[in-house]
Amino acid sequence: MIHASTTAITRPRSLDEALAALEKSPGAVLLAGGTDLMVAWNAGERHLPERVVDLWSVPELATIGVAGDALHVGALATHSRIVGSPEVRAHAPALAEASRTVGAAQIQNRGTIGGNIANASPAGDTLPVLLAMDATIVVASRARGERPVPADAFWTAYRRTALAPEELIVRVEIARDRPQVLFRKVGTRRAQAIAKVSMALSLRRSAGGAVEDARIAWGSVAPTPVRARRAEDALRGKPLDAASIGAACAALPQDISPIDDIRSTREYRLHVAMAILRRALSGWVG
Amino acid sequence: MSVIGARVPKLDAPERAGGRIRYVHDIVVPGMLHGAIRRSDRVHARILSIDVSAARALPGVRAVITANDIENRPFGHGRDNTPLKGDRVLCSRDEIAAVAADTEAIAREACRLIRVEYEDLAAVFSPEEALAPGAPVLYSHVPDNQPFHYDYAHGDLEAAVAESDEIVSDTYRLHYVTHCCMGTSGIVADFSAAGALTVHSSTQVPHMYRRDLAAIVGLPPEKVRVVQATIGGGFGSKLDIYPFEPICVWLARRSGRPVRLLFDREEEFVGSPTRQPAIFHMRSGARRDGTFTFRDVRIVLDNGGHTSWGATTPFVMMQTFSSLYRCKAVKVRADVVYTNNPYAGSFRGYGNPQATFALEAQVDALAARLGIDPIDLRLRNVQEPGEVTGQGMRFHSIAHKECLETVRERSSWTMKRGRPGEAHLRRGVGVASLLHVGGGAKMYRTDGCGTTLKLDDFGIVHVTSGSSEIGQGSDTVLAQCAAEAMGVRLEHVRVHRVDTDLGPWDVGVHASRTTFIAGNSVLMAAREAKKKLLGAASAQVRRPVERLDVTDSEIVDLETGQAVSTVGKVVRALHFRERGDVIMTSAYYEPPSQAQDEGYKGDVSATYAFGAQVAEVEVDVETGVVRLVRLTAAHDVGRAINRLGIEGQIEGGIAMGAGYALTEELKVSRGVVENPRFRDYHLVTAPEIPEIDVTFVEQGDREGPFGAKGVGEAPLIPVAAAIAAAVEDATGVRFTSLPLTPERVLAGLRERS
Ligand SMILES: Cc1cc2nc3c(=O)[nH]c(=O)nc-3n(C[C@H](O)[C@H](O)[C@H](O)COP(=O)(O)OP(=O)(O)OC[C@H]3O[C@@H](n4cnc5c(N)ncnc54)[C@H](O)[C@@H]3O)c2cc1C
Repeated sequence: MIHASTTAITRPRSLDEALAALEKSPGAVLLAGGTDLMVAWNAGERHLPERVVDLWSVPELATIGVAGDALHVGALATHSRIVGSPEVRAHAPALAEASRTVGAAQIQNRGTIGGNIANASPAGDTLPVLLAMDATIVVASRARGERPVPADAFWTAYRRTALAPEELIVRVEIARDRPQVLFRKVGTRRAQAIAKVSMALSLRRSAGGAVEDARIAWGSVAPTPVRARRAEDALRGKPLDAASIGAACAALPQDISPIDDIRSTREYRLHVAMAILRRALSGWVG
Repeated sequence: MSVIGARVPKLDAPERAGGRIRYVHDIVVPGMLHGAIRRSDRVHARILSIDVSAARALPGVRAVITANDIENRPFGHGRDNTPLKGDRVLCSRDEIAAVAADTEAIAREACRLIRVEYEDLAAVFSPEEALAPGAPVLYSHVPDNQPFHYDYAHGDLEAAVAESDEIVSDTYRLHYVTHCCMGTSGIVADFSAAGALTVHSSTQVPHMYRRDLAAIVGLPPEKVRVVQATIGGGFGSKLDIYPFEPICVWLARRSGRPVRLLFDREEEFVGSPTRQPAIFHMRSGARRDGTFTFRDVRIVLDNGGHTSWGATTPFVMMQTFSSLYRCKAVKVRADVVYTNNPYAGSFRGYGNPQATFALEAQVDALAARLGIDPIDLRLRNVQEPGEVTGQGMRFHSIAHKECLETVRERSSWTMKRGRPGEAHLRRGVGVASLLHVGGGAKMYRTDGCGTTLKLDDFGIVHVTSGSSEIGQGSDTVLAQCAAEAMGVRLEHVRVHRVDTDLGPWDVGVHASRTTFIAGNSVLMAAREAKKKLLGAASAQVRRPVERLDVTDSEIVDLETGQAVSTVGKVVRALHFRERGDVIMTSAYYEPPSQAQDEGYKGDVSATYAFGAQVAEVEVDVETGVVRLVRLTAAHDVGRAINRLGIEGQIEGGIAMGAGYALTEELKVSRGVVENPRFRDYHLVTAPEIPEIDVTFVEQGDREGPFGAKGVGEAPLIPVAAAIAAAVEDATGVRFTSLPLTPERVLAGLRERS
């Protein structure tokens, strides 16, 4: 394809300007780090759009900090900044761990959490973590202002999200009192590997040891990042023992629907998902 | 102070790291057009029609060629390839048409506009399919689909089988990988007004390339000049001529303009050679005391749709089977089989990583049967200096035993072997050895290399070698050889790129031969130059020549220890007078090796390199993920000339071997490459590089320059075998095919339990 240079790029300097630009042309493509978009454009998987709104210089979107009882991570926070952020490490260390596995250093320097969320790949590394943390994805439009979307409701179908055309992601909010999350990613290699399977798991247990709440989220095993609700149900109210762990693992295949693709096979994903769940539950402390 | 054995950064490192070096991609010739190739959409089909009208009509297009527009001469080792395919395509990379245009984008767009009508033909996608009765015949003059066979034998096989106490037998299947040079393929073709052709090429065999390319495009060789561009990685991929090269020449001819043709990355994956995939059906035996008795190997090679150097890899495979260990009777039969798959070229190791994988698996299987430690079993069968193998190789120097003992010691083998542990992360160690030519390989009538050397007015030594730097660091080694032999400072030596008009002849970069062959050639030219220099100095400073030497680029009086002149001064004074002279020398070094006879026997290399490696792995038995934790290597290098360079060569070989073993696979499905991009073709990345412990065993080779042997290919060769052995130690499962991806490993583990 001969690339026509007809793409108009807007570079807003504030969130207001960004929202205004988006309202003016709701079909515009938002550009953050470009690590997903540039690949898709170059490969011809996506057409070069007529309008691009480049968010890179919108300072409000880039902040990371604690507000009240929640950790706020701006949509434009790069994976590198997430990895290096003392606030993230203190309140959501599993998110830092997931960001640390995205691509390699160069990609982490450009790629953002907002891009990871909006790109909505089932293999997006931070997504299962956000599900397991019960994060809130705050989106905004000029007309309606901010709108919180629970992570559970954000990814609606294969590469589809709850984002409306005139909306952008502003930040992610994670409650600070959430139980810790364990993140596990299986790939061919340790850098530049898109997950064959990834898992984020959090458990809250009563003083007596019974599981009060379980959130088990998965990447690369379904059209969207998914929670394994049947497996979670199998644990809820039970002590963490061989019986409940066995039941959770046995329930897992009904929660996920892995496929054969260039990165792995259905069979492998299914087996490994069960294996890493069993290991995580068996070794659970706290 | 001697520069031999020092740690010398590669001379071109600042240029490369600084982004200043000029690859073929950076060459711009005034008036130059850009070429692109239209490849096949089918794997085996008759071409019914090719419509180039839309391509011709695109503004900016200057030439469009199909097989009808050129003299489409057959070429290649099997003479079964042509620059463009006119009536039939045999694999997915096949070239059908080409365009030269004002920009690369226009050329590529024009290629897309070419319409080709096909009629599909029955295709075969594995040697087994191609050998089955009634299989489609790919070339009518090869009705059994087998263009080449190799038969090698020494010793009495039947008797050796009979005296075996243990016999093991298995089949090993090795996959497709490709070179992944960071610099994609490219060429610039430029005709003079008088019709002489200059090509800027990345070939690693410039002098033979000149003759071969001339023949393909129908020019007398004397009208062809090959100027080597800086090469962005070779590894064997540039040892053959591929269709894009004559195509570019034809585009230049038809357009009357210089043309540059470059591959993009996807094209590099689809349109480059691969490592030769191979199937080994193999049996080996040993006596109770561990003495190897016989090996009987049948090799089946998937040749793809056309023939490149991959079809000749049995030459090297059989060396390993016949001579890595002492073995009374060895039989090797290789059948090369046409399919509609991509075709293999030469690739670092030239079949040896595949053969070593199979052989070392059988050695381990015998060790298990005999209850002998794998290293002990190898030591029981290693050869001694002076020994001649069944294939006729003479091992004047051989440090195989020392290599095995070294890696046993340095890897803590005895402590670690057979202790996988009970946790889900199991540990294992495995060993593998290697034999490879280390002093060239006499595959042609000569295995020689020429050098010309000029001393300039300011004492700079200009070395023009016939051999080429392809990233392996040979320019630095040759500069060290010249500096050492002449007594000049290393920074006073420059090694010049190959230009067939200017430089002397050489066979090319292959067979790990450059340090050994070109190094010796440079030594000859440098010694000659030094003699002439001292002769001139002696007359100038009026001292007997025996009293003079060159140290640190100065002429020194050996009696007083004083500098009496400098190299530059002597050269200037030599010619700046009546009846002057210059100092320019030349040399041609021919190694004392023999061409093989018809049974593939003979002492084909002037020396041989050995080595042993121990891999230590950690296997997650729940996910099948294998981590290479540590690699302990000992290499029989003769003598390290550039310690830093050889470390780099060994570490690079280990990384490449780890990729071959664990992550790399060119996925070919029904003839089509499914993962032609680095996202899906997984090289190892920095975190996968293990802890590497390298020992050079330096016993000095009697013929090598300063005692050195060639080891360019060696470090890659045993890596995959050692890793598979380590995985077996950790899990009890010996994998007989690669790569050891989590999917394959997990499936193997589940199958066993
Ligand atoms: C070599 C390489 C390796 C990679 N490895 C991984 C990996 O291991 N794991 C992984 O998860 N990903 C990986 N990726 C994908 C990518 O890096 C991540 O998804 C990254 O987080 C995307 O962020 P970005 O800012 O670059 O997104 P962009 O490419 O800028 O945008 C991606 C999408 O998000 C939209 N978008 C961006 N910001 C917003 C916003 N604020 N509001 C609404 N929509 C928005 C864009 O319109 C676009 O549709 C890799 C990419 C490359 C090139």
